[in-house]
Amino acid sequence: MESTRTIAALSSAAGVGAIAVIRLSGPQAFSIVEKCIDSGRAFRDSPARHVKLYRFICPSSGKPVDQITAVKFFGPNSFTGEDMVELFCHGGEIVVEKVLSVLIGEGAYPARRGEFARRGFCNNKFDLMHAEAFLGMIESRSGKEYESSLEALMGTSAGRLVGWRERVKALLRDVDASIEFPEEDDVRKSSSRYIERIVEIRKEIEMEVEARGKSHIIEKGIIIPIVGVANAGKSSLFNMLVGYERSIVHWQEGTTRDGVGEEVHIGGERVTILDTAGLRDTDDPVEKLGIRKTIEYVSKAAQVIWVTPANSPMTHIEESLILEKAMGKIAVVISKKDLAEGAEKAEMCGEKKIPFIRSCLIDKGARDALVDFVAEVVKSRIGSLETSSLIRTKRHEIIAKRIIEELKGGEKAVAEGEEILAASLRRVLADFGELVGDTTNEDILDSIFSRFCIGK
Amino acid sequence: MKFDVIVVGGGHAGIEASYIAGKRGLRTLLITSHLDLIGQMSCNPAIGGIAKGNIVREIDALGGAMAKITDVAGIHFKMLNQTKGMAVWGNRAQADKKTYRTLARKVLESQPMIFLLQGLVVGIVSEGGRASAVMMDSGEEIQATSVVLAMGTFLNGVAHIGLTSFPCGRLGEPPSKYLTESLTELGVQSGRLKTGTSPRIDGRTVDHQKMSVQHGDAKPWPFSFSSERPPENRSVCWITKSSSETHKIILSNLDRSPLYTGKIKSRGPRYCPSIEDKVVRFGERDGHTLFLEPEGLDTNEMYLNGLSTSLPFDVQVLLVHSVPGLERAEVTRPGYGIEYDFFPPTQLWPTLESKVLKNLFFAGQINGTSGYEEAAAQGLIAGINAAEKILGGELLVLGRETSYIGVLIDDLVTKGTQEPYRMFTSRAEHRLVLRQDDADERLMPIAYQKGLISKEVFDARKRVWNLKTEYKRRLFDEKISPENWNNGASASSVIRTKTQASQLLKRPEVGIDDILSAIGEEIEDREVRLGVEADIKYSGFVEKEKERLEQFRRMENEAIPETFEYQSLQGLLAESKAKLSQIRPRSLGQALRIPGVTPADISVVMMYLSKQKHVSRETTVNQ
Repeated sequence: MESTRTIAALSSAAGVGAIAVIRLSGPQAFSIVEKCIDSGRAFRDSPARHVKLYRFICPSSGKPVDQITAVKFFGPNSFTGEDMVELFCHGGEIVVEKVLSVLIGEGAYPARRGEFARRGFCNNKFDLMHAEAFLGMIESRSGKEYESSLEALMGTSAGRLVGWRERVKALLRDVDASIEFPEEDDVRKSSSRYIERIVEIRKEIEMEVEARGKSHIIEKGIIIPIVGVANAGKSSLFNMLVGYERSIVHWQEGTTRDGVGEEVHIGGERVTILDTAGLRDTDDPVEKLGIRKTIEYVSKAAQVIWVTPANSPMTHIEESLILEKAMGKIAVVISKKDLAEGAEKAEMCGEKKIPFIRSCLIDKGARDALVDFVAEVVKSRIGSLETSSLIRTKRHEIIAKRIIEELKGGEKAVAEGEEILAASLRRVLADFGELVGDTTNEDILDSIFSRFCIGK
Repeated sequence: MKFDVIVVGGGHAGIEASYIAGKRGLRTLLITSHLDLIGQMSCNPAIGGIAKGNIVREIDALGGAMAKITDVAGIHFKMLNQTKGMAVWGNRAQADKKTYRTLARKVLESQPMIFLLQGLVVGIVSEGGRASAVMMDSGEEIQATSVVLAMGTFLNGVAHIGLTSFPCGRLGEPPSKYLTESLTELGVQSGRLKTGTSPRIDGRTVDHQKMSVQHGDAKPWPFSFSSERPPENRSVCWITKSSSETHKIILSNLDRSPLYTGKIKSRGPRYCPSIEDKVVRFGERDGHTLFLEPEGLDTNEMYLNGLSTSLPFDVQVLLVHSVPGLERAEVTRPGYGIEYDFFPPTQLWPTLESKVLKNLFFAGQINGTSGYEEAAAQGLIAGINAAEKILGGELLVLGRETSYIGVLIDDLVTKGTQEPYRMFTSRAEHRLVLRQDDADERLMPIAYQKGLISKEVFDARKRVWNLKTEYKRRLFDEKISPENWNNGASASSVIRTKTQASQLLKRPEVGIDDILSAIGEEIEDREVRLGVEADIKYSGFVEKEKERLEQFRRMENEAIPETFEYQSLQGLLAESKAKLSQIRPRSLGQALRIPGVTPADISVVMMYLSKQKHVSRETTVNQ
């Protein structure tokens, strides 16, 4: 069977670093490492969670391979629930490869992707939500993602989920108590407000599912179109943010006909910056298409950057297509030739409380200030998006939606009878079980006896 | 002297075990410490209730005696939960204790193959890994092919009244000694549990003015599916409440309570706490409800339900006097706590046969349960299987989805119990399909096929089922037009087009009588009428549960051989291995219900099972 195999793998990132961490897990973890250490006995006698320095050797040749430190974890008190060793060697690629190949030569199997976590899960070291949380933590590419995974990992959000489950449990407890003990005064008094209680829970879950929609956007990185009239300097700004010349910058109007996008990290967040076709009246069918696309981007985007030249008055197209459609999610870059220009537009932004910057786009020295401005805009935008730290994956979403439907059924069932309602609530608890662990009939009875004074 | 079946104990488990074995024509001996007390109701004088009433119906469907005795011995019948759906109705009867005993004994004596013996069994004799005889206190051995043990609270029983304790099986009767030790020697493990009962009072000294009366149903429902005449209400119960004075008395006397001084160490039932427990854990509230139940028709003695206690006698008298209406009541017998031996039921197969010793069956309170009905149900199954061992048929194991008895026994042998186990409807995951009114449809086909009920009984019930089917078909075919319906219908049940009668009946606000009058039909038999209504009303919800039910059945049908070796399995935690090896579940479904066994464990077992199947198929091919 697979989990009697002892597995080994590099646990830190591949590549060069000061140290690398290699993990072993399984019944032979200790004995394998012991063989590969010059003074094997010192390792054997070392207690759990003690760090010691050893000479790592190749047992067959006796040749030293590296100087390492190693820590033992005795199952079940380890990440996987099995005996485990964490071994710290020097971080060179060759060193790591040599150490690993020695371990494998002594009987360890190369671990498959996620195998350590899976063993931990199978050995009941953590639940699925938890496993997903630290996977999310490792894989998070945006600050927001990191935060929601952290919240899940530290258990604060799971607490809310458990809270819902507990409330459904309490509801079922009251319904069941009323069925089991119809003659007990104590029970009769509390069997009420069923519908309100269900609706309350359902609405909270619905809000969370909605927020999930938004976090989904963040996971993918929010898209920020740069819009403006033709030749306002959009492509210059785009190139400046992306860091190299991607869009063709040309003084002829209408150079960028389709949107050009690039993923960048700004202010710790992953965003996709989109250069768009300039807005102007045109008869060119291709350009018209490009403009229609730009308008679509504006209406869909969570954040829009509007570049407008300082030295020309606002066009009606800017007014109707940008200011109106993007109000509330817009930041303005007033491109100027010198300090004196653009005062009216700046004043307008100030009045409407729109964040803006006046910047000379062709000046290389303006870059830092611009990047800071955009980073600030991105940060406050992402911060304003409400996200769900509970419903983070498709799996969560599917189950949450099932729960919502079942709760709606429960609202109807109140009229149909308490036993029907109870059946519906049991199905809800079974669904919660898939997320945070099972509720048994025993749990409900325990809850009845601790809440009500039963005893005819 | 040799018998086919020996049953030890004449309580509710012992009665059913010997009755069914005798009915099947086996030479059966019932041994009890007191022949006049067969069928004694040691605690309250009631049979049935929520879930429990359902068990009594199931016992009747399987050919047992309890329902028939209760229908005659009952003096106050009440169907509980009638304001809720029929799936959770439960019939309850107050019984005349003396009549119950008389009838129980009569039922046994009416069977030519059942013999009774007064005496004390002190040991089990085994031969080649199976029980072969019982040892009497006289030293005599009585041989039998199967032995059913049903000794209730008698094994090393110790009663507590205040800080005084004394050996006792039931108040006034000696305990049974040595039998636990004999079983322990054979390798059976034992534990200790506690239960208690309330003081009884003299009904002549009760002031009914200060209490409210509880009448039985206007038209009582019978327990038995083949009772000859309808049961009758011949008495009433009374309801009162504890007072703040009761509360004070208890709190100031906790230092004389065996429960609170630590004298009683074993665990008692949470659903039937002593009044001490209620007051300490829940405070005074606005009084704890108490019921006065008649012990019988030709006695004034009344049972004070809700006041179970093991406080000293003088405190009990004060307690009783603190209750409105009982200020001058005379106590006839004190309440008491009792500690007794039980044998953790995880040592049994789901047939109730011991895993330690073949042909030895355990039933009732010695398995850690409480309640007459739970005991009777186990007695019946133990008796059926003790007989089947001799007759050579397949042993009977009922599923959780077909009966409360199935739930009861599966819970016991799979999970064991920490407190005296009582049945609740919420223990059944498929509650909606375990109605008390259709226990016959669920179980009689099995019972008939196993020879537990007669052809006449089965045929009579088949006629009722056919009648129901016919009416259901009619309601399915019949359409109701708006003109016939809307006149007089409530706003929510108004229809716009012709609607199928059964469809209309599914609406929560519509009842069968509305439908019948709309289509000009009449169903005279109340049982048939309400049965048809329930079948139709629940059909949609049962359909909704179907997937769950089928998934459940699939897991139940994945059999694990009795000899399956868990120790050698790789990939299982030592703890899981130990649990699986102890319980030795018969199916993957049962394995999943063992506390602490995870789905991951089950998938390992599953893999090995399919591997084994594969191997055995290959070997067959090679041969």
